[in-house]
Amino acid sequence: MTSSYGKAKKVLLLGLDGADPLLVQRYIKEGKLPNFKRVLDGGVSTVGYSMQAVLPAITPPNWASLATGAWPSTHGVSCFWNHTLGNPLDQLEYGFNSNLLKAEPIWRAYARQGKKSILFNYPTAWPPTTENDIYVDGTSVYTNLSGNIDYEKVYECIEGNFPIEEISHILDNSGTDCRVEGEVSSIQATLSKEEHHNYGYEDPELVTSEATGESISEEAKSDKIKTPIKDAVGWKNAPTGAKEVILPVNNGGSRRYGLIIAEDGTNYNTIKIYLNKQSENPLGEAKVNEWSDWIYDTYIINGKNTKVAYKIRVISFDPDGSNIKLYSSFVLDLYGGKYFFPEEIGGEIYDKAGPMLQPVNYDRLNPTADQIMLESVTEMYHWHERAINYLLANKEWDLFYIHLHGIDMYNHYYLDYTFEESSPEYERYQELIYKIYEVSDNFIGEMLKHLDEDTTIFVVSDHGGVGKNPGVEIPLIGDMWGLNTGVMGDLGYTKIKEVNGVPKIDWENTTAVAQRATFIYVNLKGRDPDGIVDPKDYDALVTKIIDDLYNYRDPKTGKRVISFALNREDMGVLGVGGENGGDIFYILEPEFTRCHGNGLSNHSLLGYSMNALFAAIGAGIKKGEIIDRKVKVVDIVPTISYLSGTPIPKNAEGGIIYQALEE
Amino acid sequence: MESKLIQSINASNFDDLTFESIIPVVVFFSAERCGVCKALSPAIEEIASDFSEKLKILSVDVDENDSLVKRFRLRGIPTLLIFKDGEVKDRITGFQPKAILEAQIQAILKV
Repeated sequence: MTSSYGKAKKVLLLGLDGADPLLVQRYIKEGKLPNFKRVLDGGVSTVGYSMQAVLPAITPPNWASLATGAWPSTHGVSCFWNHTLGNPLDQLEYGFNSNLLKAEPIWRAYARQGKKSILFNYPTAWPPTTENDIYVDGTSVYTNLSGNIDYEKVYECIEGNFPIEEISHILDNSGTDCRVEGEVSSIQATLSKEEHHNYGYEDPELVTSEATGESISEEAKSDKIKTPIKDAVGWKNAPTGAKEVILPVNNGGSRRYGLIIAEDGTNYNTIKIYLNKQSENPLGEAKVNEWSDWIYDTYIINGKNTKVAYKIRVISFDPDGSNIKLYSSFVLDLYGGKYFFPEEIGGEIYDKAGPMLQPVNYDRLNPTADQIMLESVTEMYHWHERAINYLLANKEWDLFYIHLHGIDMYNHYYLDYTFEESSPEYERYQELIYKIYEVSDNFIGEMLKHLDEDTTIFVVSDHGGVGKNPGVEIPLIGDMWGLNTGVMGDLGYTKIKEVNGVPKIDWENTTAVAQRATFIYVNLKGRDPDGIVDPKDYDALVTKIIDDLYNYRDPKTGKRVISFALNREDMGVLGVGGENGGDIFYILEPEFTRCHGNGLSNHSLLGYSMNALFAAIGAGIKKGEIIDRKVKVVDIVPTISYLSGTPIPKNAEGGIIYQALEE
Repeated sequence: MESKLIQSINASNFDDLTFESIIPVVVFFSAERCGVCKALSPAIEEIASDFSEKLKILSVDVDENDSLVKRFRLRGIPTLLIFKDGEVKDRITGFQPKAILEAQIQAILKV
């Protein structure tokens, strides 16, 4: 009998965030997703293609488990945001950060044997922790998102004579009062929080309604500019009848000049972007309903000339040239090297694969914006194919881990509207969901080209996603974006007071808070900075809160909301908790759950599920089998270690998926 | 803040007098109510006089020009934006001694 041990000289893990095995099954039954099918036909999967995610079924804890083979109680990444006991209960840490990881990731185990890894936009990989590996970002949902230096913009260009107006995306959406009421009195003006978080996420705060929670992170926004169209004057190369428009760029600090042209002499259909009116050639151009090619430009960033790239896309264009709506993408710093390790790998990838277009998010839930977004996401996946193909062909590697976030983003954006009861356009939204699976399927097809007798490919997700049940209102507990006031306020544990018109937690009277997706923390004296609960009352309080949670009924339907709630000791059975865990861990009933995270990882609802996806193909893996065992996300790492003959990471707790192996 | 040396401008003439200016321009964003702005004013006046050949200093009253505050993402006053060759080359925020202001402006003029 042969052994699969050490058979895989190379392993690729293709991480498709949010991919739902239930949808994959449905599409394959419909004859779609040929490359997913190739993996299933030529490799192994489980019944229903599913894999059990760790709890909460949220991005960072699950990718951390897929990196370490350990449960969250061991690796320490407990939600989208983490909390460290002893810090104020409203102080959270960003869950993508590798510094939070307390368990050894597989790439460090590989490195112990002198083997090399490429970590491509992998959550909990950044900042780098190994010397000889390649890291491409990993700080956010999309590759390069944190490295962009100017936000996406929408220009409303209108014929007339008025001053240019520009509203930054930050002002537009955060509700920040930027009316310069205060003076800058210190010698060193401090950088505002908004600036720190310009391209990542803003810190989570108090969640007092569905609108102030995680939906903030998904909100469509852009810098919005209104600028006048005039007759073209003073140009070196303007055809007769051309019009001009000034386009502010680089956070308002610079401008480019748009020349509006009617190519047939009558109908205006093209905008050319120039550095200035005397330039011989445009930097780029776009026509009606089209994207420009990449526009290579130079911006002054922190006083330095910086090579950048961006694209524009015409949203609408009146043929008389009097009104144009123009989208301009995030601006990519080509050679800054931020979030690349080694630094120069960034510029090298952009030189070989071209710059990367970020997904467009200026607007949503209308056919034009959704179409432009799909175009941009499709282009982003193609860029990943080129960039990965370049790295795999030109760099030394034994292990390749990638995380792509398109499906999860589409789940959050569109799943709620895919039901007839939710939207008259539900069929269009169903089609959009299918499209992101199709784009992902093409990506898998491209990666399968790397399959040979020495290579194994795993296709996995961290969780699925469900649409909001049209029959219920989501109860205000379990929003991962901070402290939730709703249910725990109704139950009398969390008290609110107004400070200058802003709701704040009244810590002097609050005995417990619902924090993030699945945890409740007692406000404990001696542990929490504002603690009021005496440790001798702790056990009784925890029991009472659990009783109250079970007894809590949804005001509209009268149904129980909480599926189960466990104390600190009991939650360990599920692999959650650990030293910074909450005092209570709870899960909601499926019909009240959000997209993913506060339902059980095997819940399904109205045709969607929260299950993670599992399939593997290649060296050492059986061909065309559905294996009869439960696979959990913690099992992937030990299986890779076995297949590759590398040391199992020090803190791994999962098991080798023997049933999938050719032996 | 308007004076003999420092012209007050607004959203309507802003672009022509800054981005389109042939010589470098420093725009002083301030407000009547702002004590730190007043403390900074003498230094700005002196620089306007000392550099009168090489650059122009203009002022914007932020209370009258909210659209410019938004457009340039101002987070407080006083703020100085230094324009040269059709773009903002630098920004100075808060109170700074004259020597520091001069050095920063000189650095931009030399580039």
